[in-house]
Amino acid sequence: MAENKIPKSELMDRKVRIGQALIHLLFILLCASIVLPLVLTVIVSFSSEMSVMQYGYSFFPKEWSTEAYRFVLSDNSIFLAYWVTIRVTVIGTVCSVFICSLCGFVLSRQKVKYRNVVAMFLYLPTIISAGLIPWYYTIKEVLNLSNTLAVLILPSLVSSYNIFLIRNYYKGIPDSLVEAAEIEGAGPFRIFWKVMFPLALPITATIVLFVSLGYWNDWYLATWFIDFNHQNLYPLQYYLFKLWDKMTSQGGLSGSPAPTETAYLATMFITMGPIILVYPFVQKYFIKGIMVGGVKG
Amino acid sequence: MTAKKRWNVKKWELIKNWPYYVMILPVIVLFFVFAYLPIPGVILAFKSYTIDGGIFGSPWVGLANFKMFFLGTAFLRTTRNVVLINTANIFFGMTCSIACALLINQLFSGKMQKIYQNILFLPTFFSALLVAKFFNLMLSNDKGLINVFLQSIGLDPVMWYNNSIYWIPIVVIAGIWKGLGYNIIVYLASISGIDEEIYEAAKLDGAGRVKQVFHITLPLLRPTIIMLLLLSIGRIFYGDFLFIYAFVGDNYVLQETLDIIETYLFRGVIGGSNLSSTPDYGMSAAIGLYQTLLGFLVIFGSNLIVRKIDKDSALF
Repeated sequence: MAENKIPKSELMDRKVRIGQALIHLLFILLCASIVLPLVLTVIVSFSSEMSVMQYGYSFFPKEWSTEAYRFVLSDNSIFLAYWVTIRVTVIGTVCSVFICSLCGFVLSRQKVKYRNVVAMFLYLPTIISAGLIPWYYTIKEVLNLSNTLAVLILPSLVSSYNIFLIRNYYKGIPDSLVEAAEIEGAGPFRIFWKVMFPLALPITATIVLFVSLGYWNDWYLATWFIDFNHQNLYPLQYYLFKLWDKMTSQGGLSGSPAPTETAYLATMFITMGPIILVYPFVQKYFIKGIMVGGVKG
Repeated sequence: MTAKKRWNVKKWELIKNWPYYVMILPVIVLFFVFAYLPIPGVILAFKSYTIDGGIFGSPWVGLANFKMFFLGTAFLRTTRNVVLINTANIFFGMTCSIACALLINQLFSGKMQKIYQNILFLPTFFSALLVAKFFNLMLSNDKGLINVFLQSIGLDPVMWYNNSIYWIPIVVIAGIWKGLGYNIIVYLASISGIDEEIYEAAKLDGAGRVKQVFHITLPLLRPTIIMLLLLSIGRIFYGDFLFIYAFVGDNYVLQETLDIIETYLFRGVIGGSNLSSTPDYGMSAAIGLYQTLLGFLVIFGSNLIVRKIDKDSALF
């Protein structure tokens, strides 16, 4: 009996270890599927066009070259797109977080009688919405916002989800703080700005990150509202999309030379550069943010 | 008398707390403009739109717009595609992310857990366009890694971009790949809320790891799972426009399996305005309304079913 038991548990042990190794392998493969395309993008963007044309995309190009970067940086269109995206992201994030915080603060105050009516007003559109076409029609034909910088910012400025997230955070802050400030004669805005807003820094930081990522990567609004006569309003991602369009439709249509494969990847690398750079510093706040805000409900 | 009194209370509240109402004004205005103002536009679905007439002056055409859509080929194609893509995405996506979250939670601790988590989270930062190009690096007909490899060992290349049947699986895999890290965190957050003592008690009773997962973790995750499931089922007729558009672009071959309601609407509206003719708002609004109504039915239907099975997990 006793003799039998020892090899059996050893066998189990080995089984567990093999299983664990396999699972590690699975996760390593998954991680590789994320890291390797990035690496390949960089490598191809530094390959010569000839070797890409002849041998396809490769981690080990036959010939290196910086031609693609010279081509991309030879005109200022990518900097224009960068400038649009930076403006949209900064203005959008600051305004969005500020007015959503204000609203979240007001909705958290017991003394505001109509707070639930307002909350309902903000929540309803998530259930009942007019749909894509009336929305598009309103912005384009009624508000006449097509081809402006504002159209890249305004439609996604407020989000009921973020407002409720902020409200719930403010609800957790003790009422006595506000009451003390009120006794000292501070008005609502002063209380918000001097007392509550600084205390809500964790949730604010999270929302800043999510909103700015949303604006940075957005090209939805541009596809609907910016036409090709207003290329100076193309945000980065839309610029990249149009570049691909130009490349796959054999170019020639708009006069300027069609970008090459390597030039496209160089542009892509330039657009994703900042994201890769800041990722190590901000990802833990994103993860914390999801943990805090968590799932609705 | 009472009505008058109530009116006074209303007025009083708005005057007394006016700074608060001024503070929410920007949000109210933006919601009004972008969420409520478009609502009357729904009647476009029953009109034949003309520029001079606008929303209210254009002639009524009854259900003609709907009829045209339902009799065309686009109706079945777009609806089928979006439902197929979303169903596969929900089913496989949820299974994969729950499985990965459980594996990470159970098997790895400390540093390894962090490393995997952080790398898997990276695609959350990628735009749809980046994802589409990454897949293109692999699948491109003449330059892609897969075809270069196939040719180097003497096999015929696979013409991915000439055949639409490959693309539903590809888009689903891409969607899951992009969302995996984010969803893992959502489930890990939910798992970390489970009381450690329950596990301790189970261990004392001799439950192994596998048993703990199936008898403690998964049952306690059920409310989260059902809620996320309900939310995604509610959006089963809504496609991710950017994601699909990034993959398809103007490749009409792929439209057979990847054309969804949003991309179809986009071509109808934007295509029209680029040719400087009036976009067919009537027809497009009808399609949009059809999508909204279907979405409604699905939300209420699935919620009703969940209420029957498990009252606490229902959304409303």
